[in-house]
Amino acid sequence: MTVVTGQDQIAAEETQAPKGRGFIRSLLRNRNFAIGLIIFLTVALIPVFARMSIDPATRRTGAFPARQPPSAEAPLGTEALGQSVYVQLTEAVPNSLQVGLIAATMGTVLGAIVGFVSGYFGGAVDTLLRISIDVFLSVPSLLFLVLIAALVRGVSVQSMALIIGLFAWAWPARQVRAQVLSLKERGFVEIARLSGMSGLEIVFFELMPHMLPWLGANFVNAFIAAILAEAGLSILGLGPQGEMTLGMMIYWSNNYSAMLLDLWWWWVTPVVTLILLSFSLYLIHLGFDEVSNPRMRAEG
Amino acid sequence: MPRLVPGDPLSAVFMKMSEMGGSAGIPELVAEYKRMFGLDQPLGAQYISFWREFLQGNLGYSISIFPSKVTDIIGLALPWTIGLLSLTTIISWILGSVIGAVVGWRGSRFRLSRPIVLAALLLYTTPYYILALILIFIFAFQLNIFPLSGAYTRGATPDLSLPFILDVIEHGMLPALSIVLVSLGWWFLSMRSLITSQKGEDYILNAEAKGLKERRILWGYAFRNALLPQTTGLAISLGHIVGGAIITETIFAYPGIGWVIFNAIKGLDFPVIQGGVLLIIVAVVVANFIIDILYPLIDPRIRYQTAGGG
Amino acid sequence: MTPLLQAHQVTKVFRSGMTQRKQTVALRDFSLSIGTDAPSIIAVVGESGSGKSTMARLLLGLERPTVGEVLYAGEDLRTLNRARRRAFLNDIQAVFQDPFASFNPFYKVDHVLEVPINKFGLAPERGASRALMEEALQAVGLRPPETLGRYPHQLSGGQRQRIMVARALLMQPKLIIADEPVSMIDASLRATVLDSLRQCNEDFGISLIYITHDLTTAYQISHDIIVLYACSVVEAGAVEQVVKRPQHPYTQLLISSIPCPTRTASGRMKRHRLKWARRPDLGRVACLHRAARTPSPPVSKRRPRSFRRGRIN
Ligand SMILES: Nc1ncnc2c1ncn2[C@@H]1O[C@H](COP(=O)(O)OP(=O)(O)O)[C@@H](O)[C@H]1O
Ligand SMILES: [Mg+2]
Repeated sequence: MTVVTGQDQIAAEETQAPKGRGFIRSLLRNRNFAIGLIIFLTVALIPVFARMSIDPATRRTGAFPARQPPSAEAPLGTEALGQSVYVQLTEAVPNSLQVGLIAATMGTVLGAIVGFVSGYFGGAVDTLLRISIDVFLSVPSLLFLVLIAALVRGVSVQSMALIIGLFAWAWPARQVRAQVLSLKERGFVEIARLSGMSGLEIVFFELMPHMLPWLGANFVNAFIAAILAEAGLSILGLGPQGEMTLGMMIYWSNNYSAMLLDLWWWWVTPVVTLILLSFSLYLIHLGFDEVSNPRMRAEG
Repeated sequence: MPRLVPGDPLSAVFMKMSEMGGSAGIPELVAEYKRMFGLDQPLGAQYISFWREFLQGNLGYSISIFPSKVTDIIGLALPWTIGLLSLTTIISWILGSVIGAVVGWRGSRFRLSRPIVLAALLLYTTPYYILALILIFIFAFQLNIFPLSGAYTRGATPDLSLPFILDVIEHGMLPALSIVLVSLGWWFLSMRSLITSQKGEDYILNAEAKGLKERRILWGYAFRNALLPQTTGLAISLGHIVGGAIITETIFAYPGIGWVIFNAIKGLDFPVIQGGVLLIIVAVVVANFIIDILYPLIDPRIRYQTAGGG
Repeated sequence: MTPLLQAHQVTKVFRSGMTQRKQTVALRDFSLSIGTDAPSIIAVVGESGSGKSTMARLLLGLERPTVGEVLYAGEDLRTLNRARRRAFLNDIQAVFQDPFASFNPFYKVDHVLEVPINKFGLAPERGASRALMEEALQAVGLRPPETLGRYPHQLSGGQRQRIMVARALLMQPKLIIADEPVSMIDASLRATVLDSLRQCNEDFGISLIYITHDLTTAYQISHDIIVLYACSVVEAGAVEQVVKRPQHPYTQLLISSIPCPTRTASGRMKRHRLKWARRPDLGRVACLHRAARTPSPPVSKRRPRSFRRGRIN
């Protein structure tokens, strides 16, 4: 059973959004998007590139004196086992981004496929898919993540990403389905059918272009959600024990009572990085939304 | 479902027992335990009997805290979760909606609206547990105002006396604050955008033309209209709220359902995991179902949509 | 010889509501046969909601009949194989009511012309595709340089609808089904679209099913007429016959509500029939159109009046 609210219908309505290269240009001109992108690139890319230039010898535990505040050698201080927090960060950020990337790709692609199949072809398949979408949406997915992560012991960064991705498809599926339902009533779909296009071609060439901006925005959203879900699970001790992610950094700092020992640089670093990533990605998401749905732009 | 996963729950318990100095691995004891938990039967039979018992309100016995019944454990935890969640959800929903309406209505005429929106964005994009950590750091470690964990001082006997109630409030402050702040940001943003989009509507312009007081237009017209989608939002995010609460409880060692489930997962206490997870799922699904049914009664614009056909 | 397209006692029922229990009959017991011998124009007239679009969609295979069957060259549309379906689309094309919705706003208008050319291999080589498009556009009175390469919202409704006619024309079909092709276009531009449709019939020998709620244009353009009322056919026959001696009260009402002199001076109207589109007095179509569009009164109120009229006649 699906309740369609007025809001959903507004979302499903087509608006005159800029297309193609014009779309990218208006994206870059959008303030939210630009600010978000700059923060994101700064926070995300610096550790990614810094990782390559870091001397492997400094990676092992005990490479530095333990529990030191920020200094020239260890710009973000060192933790309880004598590792540089900065070095840890250059491993954690790429790993966390990897979780986000895999899970968001998986969720968005799966969701788009399910939504398209369900909305365009209808029938019994649609009924089945709609029910599973609703179930997945109404059930607290975090609970399941906790459950699965606890039962699959010894997760890696990749398996963690897959588990999170498994729960990321329902929302895009629901939205895509709603949009397809409204789009397929439009005349151009019938014209395309009369012009000899097959169902699959119509989905790809006639409907997909309308969904791309939305799917892009959703991807960004899922990306944030996945990074945060990873952090949440890791903080609970359900993360990839052998690898470093932002969540695991917080977990270890907690484990060694960084707060109690006043080693603020240890836990503040991953926390601030997470907040900046989440905030900047949300700004990017907002920018996407505003450009692809001009109705929202009035809100300023 | 949890039982389909490798990992023999009893061996985990015996590990624990041996750690505590008991003699592990006595075969008769194992067999006895297995019979008690029904683990000697095939999986299918276990499953059927579980559901039969579940429908009768019997969730079996906990494995790790052995003689306790799962229903008792959950029954003890439930009031804490319900109390914490309902209070924080109601407070943040009302507060967020009201502030959102005012800021959305005044728009750029209001000088503080920019910083408020920025703060709300920051709050909303910060996950519960991160905010929880920050709050712990500020209030428990630096200022030493609120206790770090638990729902009341350890050793205190729960009763309805004033000191105990004050103790509970003191302990609940940080978990509540972290949930309220994060959801406040969301309800604020959502209501603000709803009100902003109402501002240009004909009926608002009409009311303005009639010379109605601005206050009356905002609360009597725009806010009332925005309440419906705002309530829908509450329904949709129920699962999300519950999920977030689980993590918050775990971080503050708050003895609600989330904390119970988390500990059960660590101890491979399957009856408790099953019971807790099922309870939450059933609660969320039932809540959603009720809202689904009530909605068309409240809002005539909502239709039940049938798919396909075309 | 088997007819080109045949509807055989077709009924369409839509089910809706939560449990699919609410039923709407959209078309009841509809039959039609269109031959291949001489190109004809059949008008289908009826008020809004009378099942005209449903009929068009059934004939185009966009909707499946609940009862009955639609046959293309004697073959049920539901059982057409790939090749036969291609032939079907090649022979039977459509122009829809909403000239804006017919275009995917994501693409330039060229898209709707390119797709059928590619899908049906209409152009022998790449360069010929462009020539083909220009030819089709010229045939409907559009200047290619002013049309190609533009987005749909940069063109007028009349231009857009004529591109849709050009699209149908490209396929060189035997039949075009036009569902209220001018009802959403500015009155001043209607003539251009109707003119290009008429041309399809006269110059290219394409049969036309012209769907409209406007009896005047139906009379002017068509040879045969079918009147739909409450989802059933209430009258069918040669247009002169039906207009002069309407049998059904609804048809009588339709004809009586035409306020212009054309009703009485049917001889004069006849003279104009072929040239109607170019006449300046076409503005009148607009006034008729408005009359036809006012919400139809409930049947109970309407019947007595039309029955009385029926007696007088
Ligand atoms: N997809 C549909 N679902 C349900 N009812 C429909 C659908 N399409 C048309 N109808 C109903 O069928 C009847 C005929 O509609 P239609 O063929 O569009 O009429 P017209 O084109 O003459 O205005 C109407 O009562 C309409 O409500
Ligand atoms: Mg119609």
